Amino acid sequence: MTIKSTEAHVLALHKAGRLVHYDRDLWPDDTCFRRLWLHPNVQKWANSTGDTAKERDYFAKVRAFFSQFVGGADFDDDDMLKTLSQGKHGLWEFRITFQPQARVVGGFLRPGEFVALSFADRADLDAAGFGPIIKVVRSRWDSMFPHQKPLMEPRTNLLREFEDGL
Amino acid sequence: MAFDFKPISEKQQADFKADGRMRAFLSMKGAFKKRARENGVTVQKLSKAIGRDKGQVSRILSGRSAGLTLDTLVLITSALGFRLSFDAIPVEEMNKRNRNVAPLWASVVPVQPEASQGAALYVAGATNVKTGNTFVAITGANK
Repeated sequence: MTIKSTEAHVLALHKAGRLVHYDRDLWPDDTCFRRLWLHPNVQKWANSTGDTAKERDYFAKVRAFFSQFVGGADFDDDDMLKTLSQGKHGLWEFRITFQPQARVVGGFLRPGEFVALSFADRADLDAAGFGPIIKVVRSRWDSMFPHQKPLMEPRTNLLREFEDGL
Repeated sequence: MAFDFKPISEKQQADFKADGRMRAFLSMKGAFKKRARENGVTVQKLSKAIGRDKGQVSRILSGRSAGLTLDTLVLITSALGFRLSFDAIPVEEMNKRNRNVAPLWASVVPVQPEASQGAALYVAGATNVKTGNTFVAITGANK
């Protein structure tokens, strides 16, 4: 796919409600150097209010994590962003290391543009392994981007600033 | 001129706190990564310098430590030869974001299905994108 057709395709997914664009708007000077797309289920989870103060803090941390990714923070290490299956499928996990730990899995559509397609509690992954979530994410990716595989490049390249000067 | 206080919801309060914590954490982590890359600093050397357990420092640097305090953040950053910066910037003096790679069409907000009664209507030109209520029916079968 060309850059132009990829943009049009993402627009179609957005219009259809299949992907949600994550923006950061806590402060007026918050900048966005990268793009983050969320599957509606991931968006619903991350945007949870939480019933208790502890839950509110937790989901706020998840949003802060996303916000820093979008803001261009240094995610170039395995503590923050780690490849899955030794990079075989081009899938990566956002490592939410706050307790309870969670993982958000997806792939890069273009440099600086991540598509988060599923999430799981780390404890559940301990029990079931990453196989099921990888299967879900690959299935969702193939359904949304049948003609485009996740970008497979070194992490440093994937974390570049998104180039929107089309 | 009196300052106009605006009510801050519990969720916003949590967001402000988490945002500040995350910024401080990443600053500390950035300091460590720079020292590790350029000066050969290791977790072991750092933990020895501040008299903490190596495992504990490792957990702190990877974000796995629950209840990381401001004292600890400052201690580690200082030990690495960095001063954590705390600037109180008035919101009215903040420059509007000068970089936003969000697509222009992301300001196209799909009208909620129940409001549009099924019509595919889109409202363009929203200045403050909120996607939280965009989706009504979300199946919880698969995360």
